[in-house]
Amino acid sequence: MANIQQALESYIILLDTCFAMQPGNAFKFFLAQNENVLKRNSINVAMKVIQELHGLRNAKPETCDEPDVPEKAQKAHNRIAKAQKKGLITLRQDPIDNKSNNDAVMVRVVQQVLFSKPVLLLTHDRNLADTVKNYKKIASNTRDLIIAGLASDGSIFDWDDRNNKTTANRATTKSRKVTGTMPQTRTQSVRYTQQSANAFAKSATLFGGYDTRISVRETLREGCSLSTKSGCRITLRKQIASGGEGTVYELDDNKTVCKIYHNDKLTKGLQDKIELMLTRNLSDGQICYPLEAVYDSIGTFRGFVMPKAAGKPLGHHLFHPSFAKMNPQWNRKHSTQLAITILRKIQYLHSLNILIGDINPMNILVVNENTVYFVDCDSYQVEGYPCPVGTPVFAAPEIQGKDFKTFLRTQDHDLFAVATLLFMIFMPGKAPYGHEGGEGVSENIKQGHFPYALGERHTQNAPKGKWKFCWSHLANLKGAFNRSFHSDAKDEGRVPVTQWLNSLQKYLQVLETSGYVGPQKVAGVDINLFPENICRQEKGGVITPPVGITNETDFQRDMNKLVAELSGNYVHPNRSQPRTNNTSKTNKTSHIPPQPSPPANQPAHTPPPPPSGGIFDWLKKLFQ
Amino acid sequence: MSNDFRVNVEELISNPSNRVPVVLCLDASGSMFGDPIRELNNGIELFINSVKEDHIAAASVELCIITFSDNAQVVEDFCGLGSVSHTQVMSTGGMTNLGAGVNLALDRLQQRKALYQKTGVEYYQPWLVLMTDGVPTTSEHIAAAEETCRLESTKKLVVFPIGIGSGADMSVLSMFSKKRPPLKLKGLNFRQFFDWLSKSVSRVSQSMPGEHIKIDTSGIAAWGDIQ
Repeated sequence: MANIQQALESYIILLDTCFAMQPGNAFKFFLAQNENVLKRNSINVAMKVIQELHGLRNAKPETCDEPDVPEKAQKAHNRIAKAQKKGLITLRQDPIDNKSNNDAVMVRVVQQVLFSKPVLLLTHDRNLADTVKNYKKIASNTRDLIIAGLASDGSIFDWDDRNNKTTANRATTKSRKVTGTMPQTRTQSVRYTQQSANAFAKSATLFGGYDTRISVRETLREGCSLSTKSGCRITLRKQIASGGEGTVYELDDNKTVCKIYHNDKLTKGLQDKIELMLTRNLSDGQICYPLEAVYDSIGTFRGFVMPKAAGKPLGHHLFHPSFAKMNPQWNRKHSTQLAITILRKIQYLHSLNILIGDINPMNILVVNENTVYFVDCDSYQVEGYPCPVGTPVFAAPEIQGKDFKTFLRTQDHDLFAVATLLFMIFMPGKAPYGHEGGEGVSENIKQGHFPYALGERHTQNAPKGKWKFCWSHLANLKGAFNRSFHSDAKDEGRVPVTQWLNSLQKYLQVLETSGYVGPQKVAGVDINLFPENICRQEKGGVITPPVGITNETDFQRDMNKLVAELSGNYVHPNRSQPRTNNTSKTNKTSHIPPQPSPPANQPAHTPPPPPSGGIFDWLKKLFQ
Repeated sequence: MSNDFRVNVEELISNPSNRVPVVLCLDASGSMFGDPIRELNNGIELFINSVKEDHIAAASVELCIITFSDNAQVVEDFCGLGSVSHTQVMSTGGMTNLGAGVNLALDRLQQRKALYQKTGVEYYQPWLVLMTDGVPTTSEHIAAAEETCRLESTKKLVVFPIGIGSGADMSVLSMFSKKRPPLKLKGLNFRQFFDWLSKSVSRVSQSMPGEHIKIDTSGIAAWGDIQ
């Protein structure tokens, strides 16, 4: 790894707006001191940076974080122009840049370059620094990355060295503003003052303050103003959502939104939790984690500012029955990439000892397979503050039916939810425990009857439909699912996120190399979202089971069987009138008491049948 | 084999949503004739439309409509909301055979559950909405009420007994649920009731609360009185 001077000589140098806007003459000194080096290896500046400076120098001082922003922007602009003439700076433009904001452009450029060349990134924006550092952590095969800041004398320093020192400092002083930490100099109306993200403590003691209500005297609505701890004023603009806990409002900057809790939901515990969460600054802007707490004019805690999300909840997206029809281009490669995108976020949260707790299809928003937002982050479990809510479909068997406020979850509980979520991504929307002869949702999870088997020929009691074909094309993922859900595999422990990520990468390779588009019966893995045939494995060069002579898919054959079975076997014991008469007089014993679920593979025990005579009419009616 | 039937079977098994079966068991005796039945029909229409607006609830809720007077009859048997076609309830005149209505409702429910089990479709506790404006004219309701209470106690049924007008026998309605007291509809506020019902059922399908049905009790005031 090079030191910072070597980096200046040979790395690709990228400049971010805020670096050039550092106070005084720091940027001017920097250019002068390094003139010779930069003539050989010029600084790359995206046109977007110039555009941003144009915008800032014309901004009204009262709308800026600091009144001297326009002046600083003007100075930075002039210096860049001069340096460009001297050949110290090269302007770069990519046509797609116009469509995104400057942050996104910077992130994308760094990501692209890092694969081929080492990068020296000049910035004072911690969000940007954390985002690209995080990216480098996740991506393999990238080159070296140094992120540098600018001192007032024009010298540059490596943020890693500076931050390590101040982190040590912070541990003893507990001061929130330590000189030398990377400040936020983007020009959002809300300024971030948190420390960089170091992990929360793992706590075993439950905090019970969720019962202490905070009384509220001020009514908040659109147009009302609140303050943050750092003294910033924010104004609630358009109301964009209202839920069981609070109301979300737009803010002026269009990048952040504000959640105001309903008066009856405000508790001391909640305030303490949010304030604890604010001691960390998450580098992932797509996790809508609190950025600032907000207080009304009397100083009462009322809610928090968070990044604005985009996209559709998974429940309305991939999990909805209409998804495949609406998105015919989406295949298993997209699903796999989506799973990886989601898991990386969960991995990041877990690395900070943050547990999501209530993982469910409504709080993960999908823009596309590479971009997802996590919302409802204020419910996350940190230290002794539990995640007070839960969703039974995703709750591990050992916490089914428990009051989620009353205990602290473990990472193992999140891993059960992760496995369930992944299962529902690959079996679009279908929960793992639904099976023939199954009971209600909660009952199925408690019983832990997982109907899909490792050898696809043995999958029994799987729900009717395409589900068992979906399952059969899961290749190496089957083992991990089996371990997560099958009662026989309890002792093996739940699958860790890193292992899921490895398995998903492998599966993606399988899809790339041997994936095909069905419905023909060939060897390999069908990349369709809903395959219609059992996966034909190549065994010793023989495709098994042998390809049939008809063009009928396995699904169509199953359907024929099911339709015949449903229309033939239903005979109602208690009524002789065809039900379609609509006037059948019921007798006292006409309702059938619930019976224990019959083993589904014994047709003799098919469930209570409908009226004999006019069966077909009855069935037709049943499904109309 | 009818193609429609095949399509409907395919719809049942292709939809991964956990279902919420809802059965409306409605009084269609002579006293409901006129304004009450008209308001009731408007209410049902509104219920279906508002549930459809919520995409997740629309994929989860399955509806069955039963009426009773001298006898009980199925107006619409269980099906997904997209397939509901018969929603108009007619007053047929006649007596109030409440027990026959509830028995038929439980019968249809049992059939539907059997079909879910047969095909591996997961479901939440079914909801039974029972509405009457009178006094039962047979004794069938006694055994039927025992059965609804038994199902309720084993978390296999959620019962909403609703009385309409001053003639409704609230003490009879109270026999059908040990957990939820019967509510009396304010005037003919069927719309407000069905609006509330659609919101409550949306909540079940969306927040996936499993066995914990959280009923929005604050919304009840718009349409009902606790006796």
